[in-house]
Amino acid sequence: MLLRIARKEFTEMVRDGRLRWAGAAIGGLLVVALAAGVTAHRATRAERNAAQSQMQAWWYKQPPKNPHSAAHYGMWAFKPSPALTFVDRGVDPYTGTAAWLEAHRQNDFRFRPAMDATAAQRFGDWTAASVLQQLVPLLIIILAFGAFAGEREQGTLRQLASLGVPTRVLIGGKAIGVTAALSVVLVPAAVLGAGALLVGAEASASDVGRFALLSLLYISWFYLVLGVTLAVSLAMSTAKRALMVLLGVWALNGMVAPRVAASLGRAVHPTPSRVDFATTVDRGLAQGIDGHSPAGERAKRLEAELFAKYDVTSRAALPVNFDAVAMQAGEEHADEVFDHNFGALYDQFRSQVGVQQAVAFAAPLLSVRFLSTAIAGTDVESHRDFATATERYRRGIQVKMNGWLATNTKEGETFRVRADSAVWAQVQPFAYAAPELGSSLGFYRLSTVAFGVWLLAATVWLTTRSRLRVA
Amino acid sequence: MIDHLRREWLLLRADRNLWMLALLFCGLAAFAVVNGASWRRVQQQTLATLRSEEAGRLDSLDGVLQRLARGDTTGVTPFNDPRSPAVAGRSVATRWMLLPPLPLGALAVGQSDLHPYFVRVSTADRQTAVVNEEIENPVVLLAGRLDLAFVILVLFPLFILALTYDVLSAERERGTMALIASQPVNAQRVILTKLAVRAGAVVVLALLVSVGAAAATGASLLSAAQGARLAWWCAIVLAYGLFWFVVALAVNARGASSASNAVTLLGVWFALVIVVPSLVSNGIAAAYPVPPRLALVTAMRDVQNDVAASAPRRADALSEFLAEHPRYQGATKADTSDPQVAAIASANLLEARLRPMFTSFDAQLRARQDAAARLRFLSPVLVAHGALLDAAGTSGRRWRQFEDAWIAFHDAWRTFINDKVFAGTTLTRSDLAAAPVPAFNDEPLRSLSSSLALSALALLVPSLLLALWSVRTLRVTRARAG
Repeated sequence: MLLRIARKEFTEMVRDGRLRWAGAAIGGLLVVALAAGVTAHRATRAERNAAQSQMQAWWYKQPPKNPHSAAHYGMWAFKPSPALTFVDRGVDPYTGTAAWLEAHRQNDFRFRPAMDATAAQRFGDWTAASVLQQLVPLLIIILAFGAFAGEREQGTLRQLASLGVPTRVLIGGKAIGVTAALSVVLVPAAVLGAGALLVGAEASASDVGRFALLSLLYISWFYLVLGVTLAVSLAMSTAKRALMVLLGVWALNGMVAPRVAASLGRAVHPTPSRVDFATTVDRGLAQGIDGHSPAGERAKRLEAELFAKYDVTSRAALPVNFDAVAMQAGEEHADEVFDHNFGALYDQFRSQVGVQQAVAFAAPLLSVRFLSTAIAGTDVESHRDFATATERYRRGIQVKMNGWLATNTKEGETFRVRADSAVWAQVQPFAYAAPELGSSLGFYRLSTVAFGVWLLAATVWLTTRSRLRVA
Repeated sequence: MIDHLRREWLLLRADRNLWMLALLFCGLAAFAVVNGASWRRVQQQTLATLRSEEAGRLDSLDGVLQRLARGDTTGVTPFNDPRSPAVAGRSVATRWMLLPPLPLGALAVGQSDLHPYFVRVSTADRQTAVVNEEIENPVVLLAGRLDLAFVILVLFPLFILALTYDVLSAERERGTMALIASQPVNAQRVILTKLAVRAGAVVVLALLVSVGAAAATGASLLSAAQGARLAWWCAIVLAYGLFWFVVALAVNARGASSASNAVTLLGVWFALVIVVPSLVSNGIAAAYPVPPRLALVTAMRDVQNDVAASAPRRADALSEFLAEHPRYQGATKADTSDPQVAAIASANLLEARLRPMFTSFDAQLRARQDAAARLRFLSPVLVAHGALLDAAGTSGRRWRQFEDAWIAFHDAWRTFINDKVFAGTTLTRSDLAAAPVPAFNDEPLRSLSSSLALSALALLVPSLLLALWSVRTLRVTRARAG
């Protein structure tokens, strides 16, 4: 009986224009989005790799100069493009792509790709992920809104009920029928996506695992949407009423909730303005984080420490160049200030995301969004991890350069000495490994719970329903 | 006719759905306006901070100059001596170029959260100046701001569709169509009245929200320029609302069932709000490739390396610069051994080498923006989007005018400083008083209006054509429907 109902639903949908038109439009968009995603990812990765190795080569090819000049010359770090960007590029268009790693200063990532895009992007830039998150649910709604409400309106639901078919079997059959119709559109797209991953994106084994998890996430999402659609169709007296309610829910969930949640997050945990942030950092650099240790005092303390350590009473007697040691101490003081301020900024972002995740209990699409970007490695936490790694690398350069100056120069001649490529070679090439999937997902426990609750509720509802209102 | 409208309004007033929708619309709109206003406030606070920083700095600079004139040199080193034009031009006397948000900016955040709205102009190269993108959580940028423009562009049509998808079909489905047809009134007129009342109610609501929001932000709307911008905003909202009502009319005129109408209208919304912008965005990105910024960064560094290699010492950079700039050659009285002078020569050299690169990058970027502006006519949503942002002053258009203005000021500033540096003179208070001053003037109302008028036409003409077709079709459908 189950399969008979499913077959009837499927046949009806295939014969109806809805599947053909909506399916073609959404399937087409999905293919376009996947193709555009793979092309963009490949181009970005090639550019990024070329630029990074060029920068690296220039570092090692510096002519003889003072190591502190080399530290000022510094290096640029470019943000990598993870393989699954082609499905979900997440926040990547809205984070900077390049940071200058120079002496004395932690610079922000600059050049948000979205800045160079057209205004149409702000509501017309569909990636495979956004098609799966928002448009496939629309397709499901269009296919299934009338599953019960339509039959009720036509009076065929009463006949069906009189046949003695259990409600659960009826729901199951309709669900399978819609799923089969949906598969006509989605299975080829999934195959294309997998092909793109293996051929186009040069995926590693872990990427394949991530892709599998991503597929599971989206299948669960469609399952949830189907459950809600059938529930509404069962509850509404007419097909048009069911459709209106579903469209309202769809628009609120997909179009309104993400924006409202983002605004709420910002309202509860405000983002500092650029000018305020820069002022706080500058004040910290001048006065220390606590506001009570100006540079002069810090230098005196350092001097006393060094004198005690080497048991001497004058700077000239020190086995190291005091100026260079002081410069490194200055770097370390600045590092504390940067850690404090950038740390607070990213923590603020994390709190904002926390508020958004809480909203996911009301609007489950949000949880899917967060989990999807986390799996793809394109969430804000992944960006933070990369930014932290580049900053660590920047500090490593300072340690090497100032360290060489401390042991190879004397006080007063710090900036008059030149070093050569042997010193540049002390700096290892920049290498970065993205965080493990597990640690990425750790930031989104709340989303996982919210999504889990919704899935559980849908499942319980679908499997325990026993009464059927026929009119 | 007036009687019809009144009766229809009474009917509509009794409809609970309408009130719920209106409430939801107003709630979202209010939230959106609060949101937009808070973003505008952040910008204003930032600009106020920068203005007071600049005023304080120039004030203390003036004090130092007066002090120096009296012969008091305490605390003055070659690195902060404001009499040195190189020092003044690079740090102590630099100016902020500011793009103040307009009153209507609170109604449409637009692209203003992506573009820098303040630039510190000094003698350093152009790229160094644009490091002031506002800090924002990328998650928030990705979600997009909930501003009034979004509510009007995306949600407003959905409200209209929800109210109008069944004005004709519901009568038929309830069996009241025949009743209407039997009355001594024109049935076609009844349908049009129904639509007109709904259109009127919703559009009036949107206009009230817009004007109320503008007034609530405390805007000085009485000035001609701001008043005209608000008028254009309202005109675009009106034309956009009209377009969606005509679409509803056309779909109703086909005479299909309510559910089928709803799906068709949704399809139209989907195509115009989602599919067309997506194709335009992706198509333009493919057809007008812009070199990636990474390439720009690499090329910049290449030039830096080049300048450094050809002029390892700053004195060499100076002679190279003078060789390339006959304007200053021979006439120069600058002290070539002064590291500050050599540094500015080096910066000049860098700017000159980088300029062709930036110019070509900007040209490519603008070609892309221009193509987007032409292709907006493919969807009324894109037309209205561009027009609303232009009216609110948060579009790429106004930002590019700002960019032109600050680049022009950057050139003027560099010329001013270079002339002093290479004339070998020191700066005095009167020199600084005569220095170029940053100024951004919004484009004249006339040119903005002509661009907005074109957008309004682009909304009205298809509406009109579709309306004519619908009224003809409606007649045929009615003949069948009775």
